[in-house]
Amino acid sequence: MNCLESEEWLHQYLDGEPLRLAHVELDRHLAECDRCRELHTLAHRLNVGLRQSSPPKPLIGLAERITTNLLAQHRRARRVRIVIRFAAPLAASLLVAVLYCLVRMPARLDRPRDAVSSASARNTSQESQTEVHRDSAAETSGKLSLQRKLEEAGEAVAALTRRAADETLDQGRTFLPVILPDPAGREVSLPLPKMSPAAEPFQDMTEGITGGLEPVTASARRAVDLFLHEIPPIGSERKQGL
Amino acid sequence: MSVDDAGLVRGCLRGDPHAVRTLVDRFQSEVFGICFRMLHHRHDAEDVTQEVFLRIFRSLRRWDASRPLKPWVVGITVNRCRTWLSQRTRRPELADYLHEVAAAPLPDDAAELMREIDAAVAVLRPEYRSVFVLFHQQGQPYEDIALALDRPVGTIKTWLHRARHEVLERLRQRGMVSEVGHELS
Repeated sequence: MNCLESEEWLHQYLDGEPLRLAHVELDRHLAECDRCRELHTLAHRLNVGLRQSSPPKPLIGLAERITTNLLAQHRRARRVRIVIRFAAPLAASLLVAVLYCLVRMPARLDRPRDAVSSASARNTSQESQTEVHRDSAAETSGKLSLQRKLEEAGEAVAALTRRAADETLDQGRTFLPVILPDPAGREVSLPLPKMSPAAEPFQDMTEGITGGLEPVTASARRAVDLFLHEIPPIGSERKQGL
Repeated sequence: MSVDDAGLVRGCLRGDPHAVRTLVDRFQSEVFGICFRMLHHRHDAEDVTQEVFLRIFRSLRRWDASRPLKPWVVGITVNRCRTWLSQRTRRPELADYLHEVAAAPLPDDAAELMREIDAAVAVLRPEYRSVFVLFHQQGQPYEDIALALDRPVGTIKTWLHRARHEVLERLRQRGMVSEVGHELS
């Protein structure tokens, strides 16, 4: 027997397998080889020490804590799955609705320009209008609701702008000269009472604000009027042969 | 794979409290034993044991029903222990485990031997340590260890032999060789 075989014997011993090599040969080798003899002695001590150690025991209550945590984890995961199951289709629906509005709105605003250029084609497309009426009945109801909403939104914007401008102007007019009607039909303006020097900057400021807001309010009024006029009446789509 | 394992997993996935408790009771000792022997620290072992069961629970859907459940659980345990060891800062090994490893009082030399064995195992590289703990201290066969660590049986044997060599060398350096004659024959 050599050292390699002796080592193989050692591993079989530590594996707990039946020893295949004869003890006699091993004893002869160990008597001659100090290194292998020492190694085998240590292996024996290792085996004894490992057998003496008992499995460690966890603290009482660890299993209960683990079980409670696992069940809580399961409930949380189930709640998340339920939320995802309902939220995902809802989010997808909202996204589709927003995309639809974004796509349809520019197309609707471009239609008045097309109506002007195709005015000459109205007279020649009378026959196709009846067919279009039948096919687009359902589509027209959707357009109506959208158009009505746009009109209402425009009116609301115009009203808000007008109100803000009027309020500002009213405040500014208190510092403007009051023009009284003259019985003879002439306009007479009363001079402003002289203000103290400290209040003059204030007067200048208000006049500046009033003058500055005037073009803003005028522009807002023009924009609202243009917006309202740009939206064609419901009947105009039929006449265009759409 | 046993029918019992599959039924137990199905119950846990449904959230059946009885199935969850059965799973914990079945593997708690194994998992805690591995954690304790790998980490050599009771509190760390309990923390990692809880983490292991949480990971097991979250991963139950990915368990391959054609393979046994125990090696899969052991594999998760060993991986968590190795991660914990790599994250934990090096510190002197605590001796609080010494009073709890043996079930009964031991002679002084036996206690000293166990301390030296544990100290020798603690300095092994992680893969050697895991194989040594699983085989010698958890009593698992080569095939189950190979399944748990996802390595061939030959690799497991090689790692174990090297681990033994290192442990024996350390015991020799620490003077644990007795003057008694050859005791194996």
